Amino acid sequence: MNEQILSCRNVTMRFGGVTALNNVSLDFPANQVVGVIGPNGSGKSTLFNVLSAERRPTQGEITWAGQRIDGLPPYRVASLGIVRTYQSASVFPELTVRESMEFAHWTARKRGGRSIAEVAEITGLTKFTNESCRSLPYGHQKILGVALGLLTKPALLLLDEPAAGLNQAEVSRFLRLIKDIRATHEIGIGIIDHDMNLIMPACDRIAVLNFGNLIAIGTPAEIRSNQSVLDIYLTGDMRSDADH
Amino acid sequence: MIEKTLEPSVTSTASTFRAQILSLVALAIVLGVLPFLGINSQFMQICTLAFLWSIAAIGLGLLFGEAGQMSVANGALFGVGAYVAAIGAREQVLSMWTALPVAAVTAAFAATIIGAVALRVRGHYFLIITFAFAELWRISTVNLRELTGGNQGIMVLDPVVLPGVGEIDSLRQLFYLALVAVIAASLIVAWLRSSPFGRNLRVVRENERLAISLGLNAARMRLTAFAISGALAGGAGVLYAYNLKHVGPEQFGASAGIQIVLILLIGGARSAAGPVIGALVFFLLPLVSRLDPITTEILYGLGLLAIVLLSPQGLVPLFASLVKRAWRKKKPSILSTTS
Repeated sequence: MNEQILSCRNVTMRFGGVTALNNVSLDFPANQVVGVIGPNGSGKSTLFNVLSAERRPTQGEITWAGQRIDGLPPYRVASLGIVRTYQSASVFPELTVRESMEFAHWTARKRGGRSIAEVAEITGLTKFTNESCRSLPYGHQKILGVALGLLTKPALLLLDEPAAGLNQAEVSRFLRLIKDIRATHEIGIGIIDHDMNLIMPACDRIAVLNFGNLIAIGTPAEIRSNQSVLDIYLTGDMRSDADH
Repeated sequence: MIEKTLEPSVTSTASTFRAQILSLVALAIVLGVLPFLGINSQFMQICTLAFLWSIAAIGLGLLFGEAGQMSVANGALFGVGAYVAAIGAREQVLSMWTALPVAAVTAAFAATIIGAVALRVRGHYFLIITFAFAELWRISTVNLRELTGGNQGIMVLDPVVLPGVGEIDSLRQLFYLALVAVIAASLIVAWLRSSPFGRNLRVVRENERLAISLGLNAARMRLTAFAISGALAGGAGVLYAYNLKHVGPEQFGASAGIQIVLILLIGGARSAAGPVIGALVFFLLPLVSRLDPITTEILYGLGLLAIVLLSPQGLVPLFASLVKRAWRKKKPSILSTTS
């Protein structure tokens, strides 16, 4: 039996003359939190689009537990247990929170997903279940995206910029949520984000992309002290973060 | 546990199954007593045809109201059913009762083929492709003379035989047969709406990309909804052929498809009783108003504009909300102080 690892091997993605990903190889084990950071346009979102089969890589292959999954329809990849969220809050506007959750729960009917009450509890959405998704505040809509992902009982949850658009209080709530999820679920998580206050404490390993190239991978401590990474982040965010 | 709020703060996306059943029961009773109120035969016959067209609109209501996809091809799918019945009767291979399932399956199959092509695109583009298929069907029925009788069409001379009752040929009997068919179709669609399948269609309508990312085969959901709408249109077409006793190409082109769309929009795509009310308004208005056809068409155009602009959900939800508002006015409102 192969280990539950989502791997991309030598993945290259070109859009016309632009190389969004250049020969990237990276593993997402189903028991770790792996962060992906990098400046805007470094290929992070393209990486997630390729991993979730929304785009087919120009070269290279994606495997899950040893099986090729690139080229499968995206809904099949999701039903294999690799589920992503979206950068901008993505919900079913006219449905209630409960209806959305019932749907996500339904998709996992063959795998015996988690109960709606349980996921509503852990994500703090219990008191909103009768609201329409549209009426939720932005931060809660993003959390609902995670809740829907969790209800499908994924082996690996890919979070695309979960902290974008959230204030500091919401970011720390999100961080607590990720830790709660790890404590209660057998799950791997991949996170793209710019917010070091989320990435550094949440991740076991961090990969750094720049212009489509994987330039570093390691523990948060290793990434903090990696000179080529520091050179990219000229703003000094990482340095000040390391001083804490 | 989750607290129950006294007044749900959210507008429900689909009225509950029980509310739909209640409105259908009320509708069946009101329509069921009509023949006893001394309506004339012309009125009764038009009601019967309105019921049959509304079955096609009920099917389209599942596709448009839940999956958010409009189609003009359902008039042609209605025609597929009518021609299956007519050809089956001419060749003495199908009775009306055997034609019903055969026509439903044939029309569902035709919808699947149209959908496999058209559902690659969304919204207006889909609509245009269904328009093309509808006209393709009309032109085919004109030109495949050996099979379809060309412009002359086909006479349907077989009687409607109800097992245990015998031949039914009075207008009143045909009226009730059509009414039973409408209520049956409405119940099927109401049940589908409240099932996980109906919910999945709404999910696809609301956010297809998210639905797929959670593991739903969205394309199959939409195709299934289209096939079901086709099956209902096909079944209705059989009853239509036996009622009119004649089928011809001009009855079922894109204009028939647009007629079904109008019926649906007038009544309301997401309400159980909507399509039936819509069809009755559509067919009875010219009879009641006694206007000439051109004035009627102008009136339809203006009326439809008014409905789309003032109550895009159709007449039935508009009426329901007016009743609700009148009810609330009796009670003092807390919100009356806000500007």
